[in-house]
Order: sequence, then C-alpha cells, then structure tokens
Amino acid sequence: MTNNDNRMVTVTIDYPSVSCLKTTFDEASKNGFAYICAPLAHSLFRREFFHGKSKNRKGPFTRSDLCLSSFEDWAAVIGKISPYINCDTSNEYNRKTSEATLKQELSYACHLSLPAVIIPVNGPNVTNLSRVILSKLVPTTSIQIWIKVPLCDPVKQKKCFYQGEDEESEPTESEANDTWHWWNNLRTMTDSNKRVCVCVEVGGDVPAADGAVMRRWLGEPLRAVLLPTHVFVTNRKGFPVLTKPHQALVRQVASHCHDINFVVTGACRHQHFDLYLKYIGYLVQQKESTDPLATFTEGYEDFLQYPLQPLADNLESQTYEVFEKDPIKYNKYQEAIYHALLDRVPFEEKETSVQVVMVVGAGRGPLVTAALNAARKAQRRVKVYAVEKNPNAVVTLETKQVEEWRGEAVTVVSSDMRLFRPPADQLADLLVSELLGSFGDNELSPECLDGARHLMKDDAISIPCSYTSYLSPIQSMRLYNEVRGYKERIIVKESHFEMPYVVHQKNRFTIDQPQPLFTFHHPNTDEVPDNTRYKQLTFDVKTTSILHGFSGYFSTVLYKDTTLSIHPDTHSPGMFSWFPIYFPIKEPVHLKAGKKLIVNFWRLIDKEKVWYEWNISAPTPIPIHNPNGRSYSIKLH
Amino acid sequence: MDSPNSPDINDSTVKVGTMNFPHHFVHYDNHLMFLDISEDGHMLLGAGDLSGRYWSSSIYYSKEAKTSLNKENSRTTQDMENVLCCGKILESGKKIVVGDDVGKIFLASVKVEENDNLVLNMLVGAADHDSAVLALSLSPDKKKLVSGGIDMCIKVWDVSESLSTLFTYRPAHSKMVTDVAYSPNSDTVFASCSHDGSAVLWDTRQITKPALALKRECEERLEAGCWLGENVLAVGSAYGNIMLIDTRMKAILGQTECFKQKTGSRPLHSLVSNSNGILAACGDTNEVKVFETSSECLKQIYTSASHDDFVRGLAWHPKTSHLYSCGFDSTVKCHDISKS
Repeated sequence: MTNNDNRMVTVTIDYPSVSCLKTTFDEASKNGFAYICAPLAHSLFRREFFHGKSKNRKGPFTRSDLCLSSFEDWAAVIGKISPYINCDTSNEYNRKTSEATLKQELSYACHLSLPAVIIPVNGPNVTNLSRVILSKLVPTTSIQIWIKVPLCDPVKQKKCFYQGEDEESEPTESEANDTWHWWNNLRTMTDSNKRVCVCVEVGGDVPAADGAVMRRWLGEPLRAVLLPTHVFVTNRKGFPVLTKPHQALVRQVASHCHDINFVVTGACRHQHFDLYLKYIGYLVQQKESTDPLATFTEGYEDFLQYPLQPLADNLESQTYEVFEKDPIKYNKYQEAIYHALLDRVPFEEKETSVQVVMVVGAGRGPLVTAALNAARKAQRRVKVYAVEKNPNAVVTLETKQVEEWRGEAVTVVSSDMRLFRPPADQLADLLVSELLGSFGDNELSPECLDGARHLMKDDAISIPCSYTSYLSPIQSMRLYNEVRGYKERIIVKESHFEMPYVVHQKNRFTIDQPQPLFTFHHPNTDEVPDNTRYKQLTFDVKTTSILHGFSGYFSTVLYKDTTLSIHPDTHSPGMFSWFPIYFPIKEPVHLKAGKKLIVNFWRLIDKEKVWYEWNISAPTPIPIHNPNGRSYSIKLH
Repeated sequence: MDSPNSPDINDSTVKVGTMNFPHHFVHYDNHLMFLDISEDGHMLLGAGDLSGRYWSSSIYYSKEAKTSLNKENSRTTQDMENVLCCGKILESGKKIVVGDDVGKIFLASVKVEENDNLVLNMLVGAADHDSAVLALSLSPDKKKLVSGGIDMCIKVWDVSESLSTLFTYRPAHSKMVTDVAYSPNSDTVFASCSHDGSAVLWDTRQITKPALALKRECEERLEAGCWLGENVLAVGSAYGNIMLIDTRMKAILGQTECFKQKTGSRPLHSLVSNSNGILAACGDTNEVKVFETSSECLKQIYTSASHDDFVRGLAWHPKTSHLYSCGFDSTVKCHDISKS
C-alpha cells in the first residue's frame, strides 16, 4: 500500500581504514550518515593459511565484536573485504589465499550480522569469486553482497597519461572493459540471487544520463552509488557541489532505484564530510515533485499486482473509488461524448433528436455523469442507460438516480450487457464503455463489446472506437526476482512466470522502443468477429543487455482526436488509472548489441477463456509460455 | 611553517605509546611495517597495530641502526592516529615523511635527545590520496616526493619547503599502486608498479603524456620495485617472481622465482638494492633473500629465516654491507651479507 513515509536520502560514508571504530561510528551517526563502510580486517594485515611460521601467528586477525557497544550499531556497518583478494587468479597460492581470506572475512561479517559486505570486482573474470560468494549465501545467513564496479574502466581512464595510447584510437567498446559485463557475469553465475546487488563507483567522467549505458544500470539492482570526493567541485562559497552530468546521474538513480545508498568515499577535500551529505540530500530532495501521479504511485514501485478479472469477479467498492479519482480519464470521456453528440445531431435538430447513450459496465456511474455533463455542454438531448452486471454497484447507481441525476433521463439496468435486451426503439446511438486493461484488450473489452453489438443502431458510435496494445523488451532483475518470489498462485510448476502482472515499473531498462501489437476496432461489423491474434515483432538490440520479459502498454482512440494512452511516449499527463503490465520469461536471455530480438505473441480464445502465449524465436528460441492458458487465462463468464 | 629544529616544540602534541587510549586496554604497536636508513646511518622504523581494538601506529627513530627496540621510545602525534604504512627520512635527525592507511601524508620533525628520548612533532599534513598510501620515494636531491597507493593514484609533491602538490596522476594505474621509486640519477624520472601487472616509467617534465609502460598490464600483479643502477628496474610479483627490466629496451633481462615453497611461491612485498647492485627481497613469508645481479641475471647469495612472521620492511645500511629487516613478529634483524 501507499507508503507515505518521508523518503529520506540515505547517505553513507566510506572509510579506507578506521583507527577507533567506536569514535568514528559515533561521529558519523551524529553527522547523519546512515551507514559507515569499514574494512573487515586491516588492508595490510595479510594472513598465512597454509604453511610456515606465520600460520601460527598469535592474536586475532581483526578487531573484535566488542568494539561497538551493541549489535544495533553493527547493523549500520557495511563491511569491506581486503583489497588484495583475487579469487580468479591463475596462480594457485594467490587463489587459495584469496579464497581463505575472503571466507574468513565473510564469515566474520555474518558473525557480526552486518547488513552487507562490499566486494570489488575489477575485471570480467569472476567465476571462482561467484562460487565463493554463493557458498556464503546459505539460508542461515541474511547478509547482502554488494558488488562494486567502476562506472568506467580505469584502464580507459588512465590512458590520458600514457605515451602511445590515444583515447580516441579505440572506437569499438570491447566487452572486457565494459564494466557492466563484469557485474553481469557475476550476477548470471550467482543465478540472479536477490541478495547479490551492485554498486557503482562514479569517476570524473560519467556516461550521458540519457544514454543506453547509464539507463541500462537503472534496470539493475543498484544498491549504492559511490561518489568519490574528488569528483566534487567547489562552488564560489567554498562548498562541494557536483557538475551537471554528475547531478543528472544522482537524480536519475534516485528516481529509479530502490533504497539507494549514496556513499561518500575518499579524502575530505572540503571543510567537513558533513557538507557532502548535506549537498546530496539537497540534490535528491529537489527532484521530489508534487506531481499527483508521483504521489499516487509512491509505494507501488515494482510492486506486482495480479490483473483484474472484472468479468469473472465483481470489483470492490474501494477499487471503484480509486479509479473514479482519476482527474484525466473522465474529462477525456466527457470530451469524446461531447464531440460525438455534436457530430450526430446538427444544431437545428438539437431540440427534437434524443440520443440514446448506453454506458455498458457503468460501475458506480462516473461515465453516466460524464455523458450528462457532455450533453449539457453540447446542448443536445440524451437518454442514458446505465448497464451494470455487478448488483453491488447497481445499488450505488440506483441511489444516484434518485439523488444526483434527479430529473435526468437515466435508466439503470442491472444486467450483463451481453444479455440486456432493450426496447427496439431504444437502441444506442453512443455505446460508452471503460473496459480496457493495462494491455488494452486484456480485460476482454473486445468480447464484451462484440457481445453488445445488438444494443447498437447500425450507425452507432462506440466510445472507445479503437485500442492498440504495445510491447517493449525490458531488463529488470528486480521484476524478475519479484516474480520468482511470487508463489501465491502457483498451480503448476513455474506458472508464476506464465502470467502477466500489473506493476508500476521503476527499476528497469527498456531495451528497445515499444511497438504496436494488437489493435481492435468497434463496432466490429464482421459477421463472426475474430478476436484471436498472432503477431511477430522484431526489436533492435542496441545495447548488450539481459532480457527479463516485456512491458505492455495501450493507447485508445475514444473518439476522433480524443485519446488516452499509457504508452511512455504519449502518456496522458496526470492519468493514473493504469500501470503498465509486465510479461515475464522463465530464464533471462543474454542479448548482444546489434542482434535482432524476435518476439511472438498470441491472443487465443476458447469457449471459457481468453489467454496469451508468448516466446522469443531469435536470437535464441525459448519455450512458448502459457500453452493453452495452463497458468493464466481470463474467464469469459 | 615551523623550521624543523625550531626550539618551541609543543609537547602537548606528542604522546607516548598508549597515552591517547583508555588505560585499561593494553596497547602495543606490534607489527613493524617499514624501515628506512639514511645516508649517515640514522634509522626510521614504523610500527602499527593491525588487529587490535585501535588500528594505530608509532614511530621509532634512532641515530644509529639497531635491532633492539625500547617501546618507551616510540612516539606518535595526535594527527597520526591511523596506521602508518610507509615512511622515509627526509633530513637526518630533523625531518621525516610518512604516509598512512587513510591516504594522508605527513612531514614531521624528529629530534633525538641525549637519553635517546625522541621528540616527534607534526609539521604539515596533506590528505589527497583516497586510500592507504603504500609507497613513498624521495628524489635524489630530496626536494621531491612521489607517493602511490590503493587509490590507483600517483602524486608528486614538493617537499623542499612544505608539502605541496606538483602533479596528480589519477588514475595512474588501473589497480592499486604498490610501489614507486625515483631513478637514482634523475629528479624528474621515477618508476611505478601496480596490481595491474604493469611497470611504468614517469617523467614529470612531460606535461601531456608523462607515462611510458615498461611492462604492459597482465594478470601477474606487481608488489614491489626498485632500481639497479640507472637502466635496470627490478620488480617483484604476487606470484613470487623477481624480474629485471631494461628500461631502454623495455625488455625483461632475467627472472627468478624467489620464495619457492611446497605450497606455492609466496608473493613479494618489498625489494631494496644497494650501490653494488645487490638486491634484497622480502614477501609474505618469514624469509629474507639476497641476490647478486651483476651479470643481468639473479644469483641468490644469502637467505635467512630468522624472523617468525612476514617480513615487511627492508633497508641497506649505506656504510656497511648490513641489511636490516623488520616484520609482523615485532623484531628488527640485521643480516651481514659480507659473510656469505
């Protein structure tokens, strides 16, 4: 549910070494830092695990748990492993010592119940490290692993100082020095484990905020952004500030990632560490807008919801209430009805012609009100039928008929629109409905409206008159893991990967622009309407990425120029009635830049139900999801 | 800036051993971290506590090299509250420079009184490394200092008057910088080596492209480096190899596996050479080894296992053929190489 807590910015301070942990910890807490990062063992204190006199070294390998007064304090300490650990070296002694050191330090971090340990990764070879990490992610521990990678490979950054090395001379990016691959390798090998997150260290140069490199990070479980003090510049008053590109990065990360930690790292280059904390707080809070949409969506970010089944289930009062609050949707309907009335009834007939407006699926009546308002504004006469199958909502309709619509020509009909038989002279001029789901047709608007064709005159107008669904491939380890943990409705194995979810998507990367999928027009004049569909979409993979599924949207033409949309490019401003839909896939698929991604989508129907099936056939085929609607379908009755 | 021999030394900034800590905690800086011996035989020694409640340091300084340490004579200042990782004598009996594990570099005055009592006073400190300073090297004219550390950064400082930055190379390497060493014959040329596997020659007169790779990046991390004359650089790796690099040819002349043990070669930690081209090495073992390098290849002439733990600091006595070593076992050893 909506979380109205003041969203505080979490700022952490990273120390290369800590002389007295208690003093440092108290000072950092006093200054408002949420966590401190500190080495688990001194970075110069190398240990011998195998052979020789040093194996029997006396004394502890690091400071004891008694250095902080309570485990509450330790819960605000993020551990750092020794910087010389290199589990993937080909040298056996180095590898074994690294493994032993890492295991010793991770065990100690678990013993202290630290919330997380930061493990730096500085190259693409992470196989053995992944194995050691997995060995510590047993159910008896709860520690998180934060994999630290630089945003830009230092191999590229150092080139500016080297003779015979020209930064410009290497136009092609190789995977080895794209630091995202380092993380991606580790994430893949640790099976997208929820407890393995990533943190990026920002350098002097940052990738463009709107570029694919940066946006791709926003689809990752980014837990922390390390801001070295040397990337801050000093303003005229002597305070540390960030350059415009760094500011854009901080804001973007803050708005896309969950529980993000901004970590101040490096020497204190200004009067006090405090100043960095205050500046970051100021920067992030600035982006918090008073946009009603943002307020509405708070708490729903990346929270999976099972799509509504309004045909099979009756909606609850609360659900109606939430949707009726949308400031945009009903204004647009009113506008559409207004123009349709003006088009159907010329000025000279405005007193004589009475238009029959049938609101099918009237709910608690917002579209009835919209129709009455539109008629008043257009100065046209209407007779409104409010057809509703939910007997509970009919109670409200009948009350409103007496109280709110007194004197207006409103008839309440308690019936399924498919079964309603109006008098022959009372067929609809306008059939108004709001049956669209996040994916357009997914709440069976086509079937319902086809079933209501008998209510319409031959030249009647349907509002909406058409709608189109859109699909885009996305990367989001967050959503993928949310589905993996969503086992409530499992009927058959992996069925939770064979159903769509309605979800406000924040922590994700859109691999390619959405493309139109299925379109429906109303009224459908075909003898036997066919609402099955099959379409193959070809997407361009511009950035090497991981496919975790698809985002779905819709747009609709209510009447002529009056439209509603949740497509990201044309989203109706301020409208919150629909979050996008997410179709997962069972196994993430690695997509290489420059390749084509071919997606297949089916809309299928039998006597009882409607369902979708989906898969990809390129770059590599995957099994068709949800065959015969075995995991998910929308019931027709 | 205070002159190093200014008489008005403020005693309040000097603390003895455990003075800053609550008395009920026994506190010793047991791990000997670095060693330096000046041209006239003064010895600087850095000690740290790397595993106790307080990670701290203290300094020993004496007018002659010796192996016995009197804990009563170790000193630190309030500014030097962290572990000192490296240090050099800047001016015998007057000034030292040290680097710590949070990235600070300090100039400090030293004065040895008659009863061997050491008076240590911080003169100036600078914080521009973002993590531990692992190596310091002074130019032959003692006017410049180069520093390198875990933050992958190399800095060149003017230490003739105070401590001011001349150059900052960030990042100088793609992994931590483990050693830096001024060329014996130049005040502008120094070498660096790093965990990125490369050894690099820097010339601060070159403003745009000061760095020249002598040995390219590779998986074999370099841990230590030192000059053997003006054209040969010795580097030691995490795989336990010592390599001699000709800086003009950019080619490896000779190579040896140094600390071979049945469980694998131990990583090098430090290399020092004397004017006769004799090279001493220590690493993640209790051994000290010495090599003759005259014929461009390495010949082991001395080995000692007298330490009980990893050896960290090495220094040649400039007037004798004695090599001094110190380590995590809190002892200083003297090795007489002439006997071998």
